[in-house]
Amino acid sequence: MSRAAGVRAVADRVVVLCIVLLSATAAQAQKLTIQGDRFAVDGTPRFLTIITYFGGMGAPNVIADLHLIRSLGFDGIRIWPNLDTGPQLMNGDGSLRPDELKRLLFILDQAKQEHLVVDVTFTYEHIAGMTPSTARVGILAATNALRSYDNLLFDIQNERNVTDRRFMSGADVGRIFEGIKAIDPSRIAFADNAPVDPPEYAAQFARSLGLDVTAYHEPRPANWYELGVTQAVIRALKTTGRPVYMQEPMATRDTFFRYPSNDKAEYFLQAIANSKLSGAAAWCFHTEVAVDFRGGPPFLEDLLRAYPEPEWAFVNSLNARIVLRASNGTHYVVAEGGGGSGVRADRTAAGPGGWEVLGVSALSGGPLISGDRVALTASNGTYYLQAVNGGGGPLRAASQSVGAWETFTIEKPGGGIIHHGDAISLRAGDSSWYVVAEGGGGGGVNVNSASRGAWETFTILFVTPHSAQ
Amino acid sequence: MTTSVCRVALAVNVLLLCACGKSSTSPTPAVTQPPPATSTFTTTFEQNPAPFRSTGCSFSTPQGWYTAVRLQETAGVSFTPATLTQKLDGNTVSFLAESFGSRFGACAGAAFTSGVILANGAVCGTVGVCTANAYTTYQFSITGTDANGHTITVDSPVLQLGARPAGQSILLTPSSLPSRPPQASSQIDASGRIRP
Repeated sequence: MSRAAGVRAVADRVVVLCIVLLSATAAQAQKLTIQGDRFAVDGTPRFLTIITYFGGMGAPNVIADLHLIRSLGFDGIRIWPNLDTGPQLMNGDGSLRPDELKRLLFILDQAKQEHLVVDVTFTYEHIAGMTPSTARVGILAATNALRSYDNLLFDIQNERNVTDRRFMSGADVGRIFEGIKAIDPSRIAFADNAPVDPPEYAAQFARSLGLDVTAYHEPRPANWYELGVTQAVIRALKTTGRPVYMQEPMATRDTFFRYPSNDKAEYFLQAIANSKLSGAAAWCFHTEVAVDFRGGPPFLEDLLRAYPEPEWAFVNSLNARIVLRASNGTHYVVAEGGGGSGVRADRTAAGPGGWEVLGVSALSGGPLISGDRVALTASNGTYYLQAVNGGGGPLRAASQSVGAWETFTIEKPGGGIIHHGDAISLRAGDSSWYVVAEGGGGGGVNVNSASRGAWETFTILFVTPHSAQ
Repeated sequence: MTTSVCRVALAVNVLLLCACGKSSTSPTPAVTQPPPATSTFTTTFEQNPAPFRSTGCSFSTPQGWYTAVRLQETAGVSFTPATLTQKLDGNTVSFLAESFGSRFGACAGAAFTSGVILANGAVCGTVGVCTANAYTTYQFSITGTDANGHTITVDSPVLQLGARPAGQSILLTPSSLPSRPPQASSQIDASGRIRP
């Protein structure tokens, strides 16, 4: 071996070592647990926003798809590894198919890299010859094979209470649940119920079997998305004291059925916000575009883009971008230079450019609700708005990480969902310091006001798709 | 730096005076220190005239005239801007009253210090006006003080605003739900079809 080749070999080993170390770091960075009636990611309670990826086993571009899903702001995917539109994980006797298992592991590895939670939903009806008894064999084998993943949810059977080929008795679910726990006590497991039974039934079912999660597929009336409807369902489900997973709300489209109120992102935006407000722990965007990748566009992005409403509009709403208008009604908050320096409230609507556009995210996940702790990014996406010294001084956009000083509590009078056009205020963390546009706008922005008045009130306007109600 | 320059100039003058006292030869012309340099700028609009665009101007007023601008300091003297004035058709307009910092920032890939235009440095931004009204010219002025204490005003060239197509107006599209469709009678597939 020449000297150059030797150096190159050492360098290659260093690169490989770095990749391994980075992979190990990433692989440890997403752990899903339960804290009371909430999910927690890496120990922090978080409302999970999940998207259906039922046909992922047959998806030709998993890496790109999962990266897109993460980039759009989703927390996880829901996959059906036994679906008959792609490779199927199990044989009828419950044994796992080696190549298909490798395929699932590949998908789960990619999900881990993207820090995505995965709802692995089993559907024994899709496997020829499978019975609840052999489904138990298969699910327990999968439990063993997937023990090293701590970012998974196991749904033992989709819509187990529908009395067709999906049906799985409570006793069978219970046996499988016990088997899972015997192999992997930390595995979060449950079985979901369809709305052929009311939410009270779903709660009683979960409670009686001691399932980890209360998952329910809610009814689909025309006003399914409204707060009153959502609240009633979730209130019933929450009696279990376990996380409520709104796993399969209204579908965006269906080949055979014409559902109401599903053609606009607005319905789904209201539904997810109302679910979070009502105390759900997770909500799934139920699109059908990723059920079958055979014959269609090979990338999830193309499948989503094919439907400007509701799919593309909804998925682009999660990483919310806003502007804040000062109380004088004329000026907008601007992170000077797009970030990296000061923050003022003197940008006018007549001035071109986008430095007044800020990113905002609830640190606990999901849509913005009054009382949420939020982080705000400057338009360059690099810098976070920061209350210098945690409050009592200026607001700047010069921090590149989120800590206590970069955390604000968003509040609106009367509480509730933060809508486009709402009057809101921002308080530095848990302090008593409010963000204030000096003079009501036209000048500097500080975080040194101890009371909330007009100058501490901003109108929040969403630039990304948003709910008006 | 300024203090050091003055001390050197003083020393030179003293030496010259001493030399004059000892010699009867014709006097050497007095060496005068050149005045300290003043910040000088070149302003470059990416487009001039700026075309009227129906989208992309601002989030609330999408139509208007806008273009990127670069302000380059060329004399090697840093400058601290104090005020920004923007004019349309030669008149200062209050609805474009903004600070320098909220309009100008770093140029792509270049060093930048907030609130200052560095010696031989540059700042960049997007200028113009988002409006449905008709204007023909735009200009900005920046006043401030350079590192040598000079108070100066930088006037940009006049930006010509391109012709506005007839019929352009502000479009407001409030988000709202369509009227609710009739109540569905069936909500679940219980017929045996395996519904995802």
